[in-house]
Amino acid sequence: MNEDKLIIETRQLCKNFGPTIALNHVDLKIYRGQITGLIGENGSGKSTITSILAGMQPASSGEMFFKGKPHKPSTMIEGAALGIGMIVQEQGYVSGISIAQNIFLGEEGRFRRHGIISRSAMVKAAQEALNNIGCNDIDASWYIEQIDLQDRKLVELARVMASNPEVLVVDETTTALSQRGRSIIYDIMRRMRDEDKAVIFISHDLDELMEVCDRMVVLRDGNLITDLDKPEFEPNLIKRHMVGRDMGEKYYREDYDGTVSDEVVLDVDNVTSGSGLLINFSMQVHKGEILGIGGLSHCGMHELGKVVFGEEKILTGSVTHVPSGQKIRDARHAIKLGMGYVSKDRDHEALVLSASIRDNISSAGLDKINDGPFILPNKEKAYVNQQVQTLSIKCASINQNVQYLSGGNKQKVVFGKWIGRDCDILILDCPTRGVDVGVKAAMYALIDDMKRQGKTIIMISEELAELIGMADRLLILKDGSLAGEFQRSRQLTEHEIIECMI
Amino acid sequence: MSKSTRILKNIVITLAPAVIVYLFFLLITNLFGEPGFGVGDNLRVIGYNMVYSGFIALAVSYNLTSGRFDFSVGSVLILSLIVGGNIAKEIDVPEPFGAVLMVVLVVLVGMLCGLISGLFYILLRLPPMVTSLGVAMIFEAIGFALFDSEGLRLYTRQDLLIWTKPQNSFILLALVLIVLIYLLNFTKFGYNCRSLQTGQKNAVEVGVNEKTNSVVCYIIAGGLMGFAGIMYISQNGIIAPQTGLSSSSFMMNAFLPMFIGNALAKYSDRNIGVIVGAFCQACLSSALVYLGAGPSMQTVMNGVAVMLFLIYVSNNYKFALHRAWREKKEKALGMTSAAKQ
Repeated sequence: MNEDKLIIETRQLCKNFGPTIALNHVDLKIYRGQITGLIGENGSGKSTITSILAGMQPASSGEMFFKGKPHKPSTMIEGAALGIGMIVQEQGYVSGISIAQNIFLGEEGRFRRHGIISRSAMVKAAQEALNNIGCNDIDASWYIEQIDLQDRKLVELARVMASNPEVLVVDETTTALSQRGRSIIYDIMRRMRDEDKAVIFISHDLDELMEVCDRMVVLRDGNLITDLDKPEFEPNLIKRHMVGRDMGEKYYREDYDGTVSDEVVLDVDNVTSGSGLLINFSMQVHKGEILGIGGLSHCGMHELGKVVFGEEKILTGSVTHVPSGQKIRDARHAIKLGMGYVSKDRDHEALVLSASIRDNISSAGLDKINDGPFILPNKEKAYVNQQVQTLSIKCASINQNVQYLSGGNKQKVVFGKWIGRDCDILILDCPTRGVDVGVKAAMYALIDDMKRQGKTIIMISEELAELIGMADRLLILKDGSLAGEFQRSRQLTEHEIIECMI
Repeated sequence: MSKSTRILKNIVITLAPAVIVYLFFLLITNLFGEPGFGVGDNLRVIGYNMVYSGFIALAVSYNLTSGRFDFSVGSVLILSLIVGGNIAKEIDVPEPFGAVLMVVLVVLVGMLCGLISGLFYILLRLPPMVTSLGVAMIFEAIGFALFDSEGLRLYTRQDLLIWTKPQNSFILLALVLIVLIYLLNFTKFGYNCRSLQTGQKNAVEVGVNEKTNSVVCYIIAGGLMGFAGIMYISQNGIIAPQTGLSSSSFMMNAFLPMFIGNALAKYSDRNIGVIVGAFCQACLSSALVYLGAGPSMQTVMNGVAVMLFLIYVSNNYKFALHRAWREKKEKALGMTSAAKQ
């Protein structure tokens, strides 16, 4: 690559969190006119290095250069002022205020006229910023709560783009977006490349990275492993670099046998949910079945997961746990009946971020580790350690707070909560969201293994490849109703399913 | 909905609690054969209480809405009155400028106390409740140590006590409200206040200075407690220094107006909402006096009102939710019966 195009360079960059080495003498180069993909397992150091570049945290040692000059931003504001804009994985907006104010948060002074901040001028400028990224349908004067979570991420993108950055960092943002949102963000990245600016794109979606990026940098355990140009992109090679071993072709289930037991374990009868679009929906789930649920955004699939688990108000119909003959009343009742639920909204609905890994995992399994009214620490530790080992959760100790884990490791903790309970029926809503390929493969193997043990899995997912690869039967929802049903088959294609979705 | 209709709707919703509460107690007191509530002298009392508790509620609201529970506001009221009032008493200024000078001095001392509270908060990095308890004890002690522990006595200086007259107190309140509405709605400070209230971490990350904003909030709160002190001394003529954190009782008047103000904020402005809330509280207190309730019963009723209001505010979304559920259920049942036919 032409070194004249070099915009960011790190030399021997290190970052330690106590005894944990997050970055180990990393030499990274980012060039103008390129979309550089950063890929690696959870905890490999992708988010750490970009957060240091953007000024969110300092490096432990090493040097950074931006446009040839030493670069050491102490805050995100300083990083942004220098020209590094970052869209973070977590919630980056402020609730309770308007979209316009979110876009110009901290910069309201720009709209001051004669000592008064002009709200109309701010809304007008914010609308221009939204239009500029192709979000003409979002009204800048609305409160942020009036738009859904996916559009809120686009508001964050509009905020970053409004400051006209020279380097855009997109940190695992696309997992939270619909296809439309993804298209918008891809267009922005390509536009920046065409304008001779630089983009750093972090994602666990290898297909997405291979399609969008010009270059890919692989990190593993805080080390820079390799740097690949587009002609060198080859999925198995990249996966091998990521996990440090040959993963082979096995990823999803290898069999195409979709036959399941006749025994029905769950009967969803004519259910209408309190929130969302789900209306008069019926389905039956069989013992030992992996039932895939898919559809476009707002099709009702996420509400369906909550309805089945008793987390969502049911207006009509019922959900029956057939082996016991009991109608599911609420989540507590569902857990008693041997059910588990992994929510899509990990940070708010599935984890207590300020609590430890130990507390999070044991919270769902207290009845498994209690001794009468007592919880014995050794029994609890053994229970939690088993889940940590099974799922290879990267952590300093089981007492580490969950909020300091990477996105993928957080998801593993959620998974561990329910795997540890040995649930008979597990509802997984986007179970591999933000999880790297190595762990994904391990989770798929685990799901397959559970199926073989006669467990029932309801897998709700926005990834069609995952649904096709894992499900015995696939239900497609549209506008809250069943739009199609597909049996497991080698011939089943994404095209057929998309036709059904739209 | 057109802009003018929306504005009209917001005005109606903002003023509705005051009108409803006033008419409700007017009806109740008359039904119990106790006429006189809400008219003549009693209306003046309601007006005074509204302004006095309104200032305190406004002061508390600037910190509490951002999660800073400030126990020191009562001690700020006492100290600013003792210092500012005694200085004003000693300066010979012709009527009515003496009263105006006293307001300026008391408010300035209040703002200085607020600044000190704010600096303690950001420098000590302790929970605001803990810091404010310490600050309150310090201010109480200073108030006790100054002027031979006599506090402030203005019985003989009626020229300084002009602020109980409704026209004067309302002018004072109106001027303060104009400044606060400007600050909260049309300045960077106000925008920052709102973003820090609901998303402190994200706001700070993009450049909102939480420390500066907190200190300004404390200064505003101190100034407002100065105004509340002016209303207090104008009514009572005397304030004695207090110790043992007894000054914290001053802030107990703040909660109902503040919660009402927060609930009405989305229709107009939090400051106006707080004053509407203060009017409702003043009506409640006056009506209870007319109905023969003693001070203890008034305190109990005030607490009950706060609780009922919070229950309503926390649950009122359920009305809309139940309406939506009913409509959706009817639609689902309609679809089922259509399918059967």
